[in-house]
Amino acid sequence: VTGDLDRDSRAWLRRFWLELLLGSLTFALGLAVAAWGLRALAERYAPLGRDRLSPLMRPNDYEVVVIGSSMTGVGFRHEHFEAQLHDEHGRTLRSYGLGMGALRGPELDFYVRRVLELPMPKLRWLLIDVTVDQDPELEEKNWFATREIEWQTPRQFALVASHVMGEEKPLEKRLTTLWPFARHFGINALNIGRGHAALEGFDRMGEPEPERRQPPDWRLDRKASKAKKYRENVKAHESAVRRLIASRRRGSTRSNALPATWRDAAAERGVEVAYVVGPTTFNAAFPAEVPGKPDLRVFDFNDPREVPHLYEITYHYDTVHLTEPGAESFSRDLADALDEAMNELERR
Amino acid sequence: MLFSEPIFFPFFLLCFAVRWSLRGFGTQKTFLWAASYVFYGAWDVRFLALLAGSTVVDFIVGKNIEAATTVARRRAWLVVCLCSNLGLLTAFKYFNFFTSSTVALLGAFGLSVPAPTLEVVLPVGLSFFTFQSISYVIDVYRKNIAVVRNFRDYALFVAFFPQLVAGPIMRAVDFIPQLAVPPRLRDVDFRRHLAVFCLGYFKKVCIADNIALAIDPVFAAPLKYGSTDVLLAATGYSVQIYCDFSGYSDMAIATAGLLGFRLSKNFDAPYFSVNIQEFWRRWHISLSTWLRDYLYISMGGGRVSEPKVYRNLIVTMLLGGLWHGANMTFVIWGLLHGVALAATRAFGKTRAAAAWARVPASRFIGWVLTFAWVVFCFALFRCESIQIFFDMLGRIGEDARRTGVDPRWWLVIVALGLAQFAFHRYREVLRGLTQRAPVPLYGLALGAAAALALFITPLAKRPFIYFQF
Repeated sequence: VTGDLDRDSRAWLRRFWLELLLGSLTFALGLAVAAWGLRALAERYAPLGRDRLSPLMRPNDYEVVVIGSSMTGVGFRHEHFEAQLHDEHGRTLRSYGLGMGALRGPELDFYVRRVLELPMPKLRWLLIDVTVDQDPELEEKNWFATREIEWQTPRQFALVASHVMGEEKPLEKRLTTLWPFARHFGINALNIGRGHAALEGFDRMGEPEPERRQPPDWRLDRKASKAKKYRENVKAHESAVRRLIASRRRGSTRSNALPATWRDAAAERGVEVAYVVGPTTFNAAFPAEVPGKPDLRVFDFNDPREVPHLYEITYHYDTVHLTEPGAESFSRDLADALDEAMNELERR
Repeated sequence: MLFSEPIFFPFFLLCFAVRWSLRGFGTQKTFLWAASYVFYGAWDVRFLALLAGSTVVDFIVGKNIEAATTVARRRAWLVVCLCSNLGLLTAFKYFNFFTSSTVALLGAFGLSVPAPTLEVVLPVGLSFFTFQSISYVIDVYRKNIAVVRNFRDYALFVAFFPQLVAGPIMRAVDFIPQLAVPPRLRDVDFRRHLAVFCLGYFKKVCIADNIALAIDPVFAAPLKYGSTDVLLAATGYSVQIYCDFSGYSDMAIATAGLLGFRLSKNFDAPYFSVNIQEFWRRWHISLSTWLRDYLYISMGGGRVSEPKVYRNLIVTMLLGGLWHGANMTFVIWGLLHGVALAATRAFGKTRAAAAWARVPASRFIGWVLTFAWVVFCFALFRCESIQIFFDMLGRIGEDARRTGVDPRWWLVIVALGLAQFAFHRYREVLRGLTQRAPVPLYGLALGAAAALALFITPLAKRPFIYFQF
């Protein structure tokens, strides 16, 4: 009797494992197929990054998009940029400043590619601010923020994983760094919570996109007292400028292979790319020469010898950001640089 | 660690795999005990000392009650158990409430005294495991069950992780016998438990948490909202708390079931009750039966004079309200339910009750009144203070056109009610369908349901409401 029971149990166990395997596989299949379908639904009503990109969805609006970190958010002023192009160079172009705090690396890659996917037939120039280094970064205070989840598509996660795992750190440390990115990627891949955004998008269907010239969500604490404090510390500013001249653009080149790929992606859409290195008082990480990409167009404002007026202390709010007069001057210089590039292109 | 958190899934898969792989039931039980302590320690390792201490004390008390030769000694050990468990509850949960209430009372008589306060964190699930321990000791005292001789078995009964932090409050008489006979993997109803877990997850995360997002602002500042919003928030909270707590119970029952153990049912479609007595037979069943068996009956239950029965009902419910937390809103909530139970009983004893039962729409009217009462009381239960509750009441009839909360939530609530009705009515049919469906179809359906649930899961993490109790 016992032998029969054992045989019976073994047969049952075999059947159990088989059903468990089959059930798990079909569960994964059902999950994947349904997630794919729901993703298509969400993309229709609330595409990833919509909140920041929706002003660009207005047709036939912009010829130039400037995209980058808070350096762009604070430093780029479309009114001065367009006025300089119009008044000094006779060009009438509309521009949009897509500045987001700490926009860099894989997240910047996500937005650059998203902008290129938008139906913007008049878009001709993409000015990408690469002043800060392009290493992926995720502070704990930002875990599970919608913005940090939205950009973690498979391509972006692969970029992050390749960067983090390529670092010369103990494996445990690398995995710890990667873990929050992986969680965000999981949330993004499984569309967790996207139903809310889709429903809001559905409600807003038919409403015209808001006319904005800059996204409203970057915030810098622009206190007059802070700017005054910076202005008073002339020695520190001058010393920073001297250091910048002595050792300019010696940042890590490891993460800069990524920006070089954006030019090719833009070229497929007939869009020209220029990399903008801003007038910060620290060394910008973008190298003068990217290996294998010698002909990248770089608008370099990180050299106090070339653009001394941008290093006036009154133009600087802190080591990264500009004051209003600084922003005006920088925007006009950027317009001049763009005009020169356009002239060169036209000559060709 | 919450059942709805990603970290719980690998934890549970590991527990499941190890629990069924280990040879020997004793080893399996030891493993589950250890796993339960890991689960509880994930909140705060310091709480483990409290859990372990409470377990040791009640285990010793149980043995001593059995060994005691006189009634006085048995009673003395029972008092030790009550003092230790209720002392824990008082120290961690009620001390500040009692002292501040006393100071406020003295203040009303013109006596000003400083209120001593304890800066302590309320250990998760304290009310649940202390009530469970008390029930065991009282059952031993009453000779309803034999004392548990194996400490590991007793510790597992107290700490078994699926029910540790928010119930259902288990009785030793139900659980301890399950530790005597090793369950078999082939007896586990996987399909049912997986479906129940998914249903619980859906109720908690997709319904309760989403409703909370809509109604929380109304409870935070009711004066900013109109009449419709306030009514929607009150009704919505009743749906939220039901889905939150019954969803947790479903997940607990399913988790225990997958590990080979049976937990008792905690909810039975309570919002379909036609009177408040029936509601309490169907809402948080493990607590209401606990209160009935260990408090109401201990005070004489229904075997005393009618006025004393009413007193027993009111006191039991008042203490039941206090069990939920150290706040006057909970106490008054319990009091209101006690009064309603007494009134229902008093009405049942009159001739009008028989006549009322013959009225064609009596059940429907009874359901409407019961549901309205439950919603009213839960609105008080949810408010941070009585003042906020009065603010909410004050808004009724005001600014009815102002809609700060999306009015489509009314449709959602009605749809959920209809779905619950259909589910309750056809549950056997649904159970048959899940049992008969081919494995691939079942897997696909479960996967698609999981994708849909995740799609509407709000990103903000919300603990289960009953964890705070």
